[in-house]
Amino acid sequence: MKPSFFSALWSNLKSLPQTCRTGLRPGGEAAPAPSQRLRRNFVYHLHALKVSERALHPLTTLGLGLITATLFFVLVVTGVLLMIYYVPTPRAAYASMQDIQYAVAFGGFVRALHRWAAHGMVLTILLHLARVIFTGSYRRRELNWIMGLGLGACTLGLAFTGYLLPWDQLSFWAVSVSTAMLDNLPMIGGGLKNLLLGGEIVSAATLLRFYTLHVALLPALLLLLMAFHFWRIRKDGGLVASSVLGEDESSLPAWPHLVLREALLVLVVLLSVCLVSVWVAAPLGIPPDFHAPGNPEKAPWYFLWVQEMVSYSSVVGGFVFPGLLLLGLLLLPFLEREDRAAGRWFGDRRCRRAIVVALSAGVVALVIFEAGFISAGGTADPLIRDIFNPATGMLVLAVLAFGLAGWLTGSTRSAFLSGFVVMLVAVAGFTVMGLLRGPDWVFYWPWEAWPGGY
Amino acid sequence: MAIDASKDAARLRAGLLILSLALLLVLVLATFRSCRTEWRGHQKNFRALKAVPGDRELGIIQFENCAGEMDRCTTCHLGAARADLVKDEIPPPFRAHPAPLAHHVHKRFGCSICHGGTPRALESQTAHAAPGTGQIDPLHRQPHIQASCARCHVPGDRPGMERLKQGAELYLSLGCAICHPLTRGGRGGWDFGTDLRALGRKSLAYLEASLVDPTQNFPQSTMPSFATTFEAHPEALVDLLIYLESLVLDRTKARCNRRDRSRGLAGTNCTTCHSGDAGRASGRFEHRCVYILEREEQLKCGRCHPESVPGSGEHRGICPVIREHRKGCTVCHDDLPEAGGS
Repeated sequence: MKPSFFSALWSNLKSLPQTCRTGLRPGGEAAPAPSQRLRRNFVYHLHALKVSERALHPLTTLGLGLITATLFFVLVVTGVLLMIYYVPTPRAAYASMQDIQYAVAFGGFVRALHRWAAHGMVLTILLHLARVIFTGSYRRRELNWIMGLGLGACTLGLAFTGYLLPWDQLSFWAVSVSTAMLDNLPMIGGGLKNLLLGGEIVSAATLLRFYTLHVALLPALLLLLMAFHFWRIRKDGGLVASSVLGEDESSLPAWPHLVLREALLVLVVLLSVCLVSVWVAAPLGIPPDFHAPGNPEKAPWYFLWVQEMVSYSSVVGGFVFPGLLLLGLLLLPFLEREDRAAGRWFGDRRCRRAIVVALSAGVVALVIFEAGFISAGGTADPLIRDIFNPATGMLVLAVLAFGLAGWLTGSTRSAFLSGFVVMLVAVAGFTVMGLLRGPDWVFYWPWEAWPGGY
Repeated sequence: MAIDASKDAARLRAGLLILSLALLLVLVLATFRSCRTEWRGHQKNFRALKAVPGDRELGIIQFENCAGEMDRCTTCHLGAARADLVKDEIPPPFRAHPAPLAHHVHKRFGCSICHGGTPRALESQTAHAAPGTGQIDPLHRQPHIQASCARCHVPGDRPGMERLKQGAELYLSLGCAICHPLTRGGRGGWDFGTDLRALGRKSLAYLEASLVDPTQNFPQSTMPSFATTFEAHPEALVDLLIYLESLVLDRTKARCNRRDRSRGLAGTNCTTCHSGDAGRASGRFEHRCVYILEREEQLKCGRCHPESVPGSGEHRGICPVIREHRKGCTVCHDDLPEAGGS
């Protein structure tokens, strides 16, 4: 007798728990053996089965890559929630921001999470870059290094495009002012600006363009690069030292020692960003006044060093200095290939000494250059100012430090680290200078009040 | 730094548990803060009054007024639009509007067109544009509410804005307009009066200080004090203040007043980024913004909107359309240079 439809359905229903257990588990009918269980776990596509104790130590990497990835995850979740209410048109953008801030349930919290996680992500990705440089972890990983720079560019692009979206006074003028800089780029500048803005000025076309870049193109690219980045780390054998140095440390299973540590770090990040967002609301400026920029109109902190340098010289500050820095970063793993002390913070003793010398020289030079430039005032001819300004000075010093350190120590790593440290001092110093600028881009100490009316 | 494998795992698990609980706590806190809003408290107090029989949870009350602004004021000011709530019984936030609104009915005009403030906001500090909240449209109370009439009406063309008209006349008779003319770019003929066309964005206290002691807001100000004039006529001060509050041309700040620094400000490269502003002084003027109102021509709004813009050429309306106008320069400006204004 053929089994009836109802009896078949009944027996399938009875075995539903069993079917769920086996059918929903990828690739397994029966419960896998413990050793097999490890291989089937997604986490083990990310990590090796065993890791060295050095890799588990918090100071080895400071966990900066994972913090950045966690913040990106926060940004995706909160960003999708914000997309439900945000309207990317000039007429409605600011009003929808006000709605999110004032009327939508959890709107202010989600917006604050998105804002603070974005600032955090830019900060941690820059620190991650510095960590990789100072530990020499780009060693024999040229491809992943380039991927990492691409991730950094995507993050800055996301931060920049996201800056326009609130469509308040600050965002409108920050984007107007920073894209106007492109006009100074010979040949391609005007076309590039047109491509970016969809016209000569920041308009409805720009807002839609930045929105599309911000919510679709750049996140997709970043996700793709991130997957590639992680996969390459696994393929290259985890942290750099173990593969390059052939470490023979006692190794521990990644589960639970590495995975739980990572979970702990993820929780710490989530907890801190939630705590900040509960207490500190994301600022929303006044509606944009298309006729008059604020005075001063400052770039976000991570671009402030460029703005400060551009106020000295648009050619050197806007293009030569950042361009050389970027070129140096791109070429770093190809020109610097010493295996000695790879994966160790600041290399060997010689290297450390070069870094300390470069650091002190950089700080002293920066103070002298800035004091000289400010006391000389802005009376110089623009052409002379292109040559005699702090940005050019620090650039020359970086090249000098690079050459001298290389010549004296005979080590490419000391040379690159010295040059990089001088650049870093310049970037940090110019950022601080930018923070201290007041109306008309005049320098004010933090305790000095700005003149009235601003 | 040898790691004890079994102890390490237990410690990590304990850490995970504690942090998960802490995260949960923070999220509960966020929920609590998100739910305990000011307007919910007001609505609870209103229900407790039992002024309206069978009143229940209302939620956010909002509608779009005739200027296209979302008005949420009645979420807290529950009695404002109701004629049945008698004034004396009801405490201030819920009280009915004192005067009956004959023409400016609430369901069409809402609150903010006359009272100012930030009608989208639901926290009182922000909604009332208190100093320090960064809002640009201060709240107007009687008699200063007459300042809002000028958003749509020419001072004096209807009854009920006598003080505004008085203030406008004072502006001329006291000589304010010599240094601060409101046409011709807003600046005085010798370039030393500040552009006052957006002065209504400032708080009342700021405006009063500017008249009585100009150096209080601008230490470098050379404007004479009008303290003695207003000591004799305190009501004239209010009249003039009402007129100053009515100046709300869409400029948050007067433009940088230093045309004499023709080559950049204090040795910086302004023209690198502000090619349309400072660049103009060095002869490299770009008409950056097609909706810019900087040129000293009179606006030709009446070509498309014969009724909506009062006066001849002086743009002072709430007209939000002006920002969005991207219809080419010659719609407003007759004598632009050829070839794109370069």
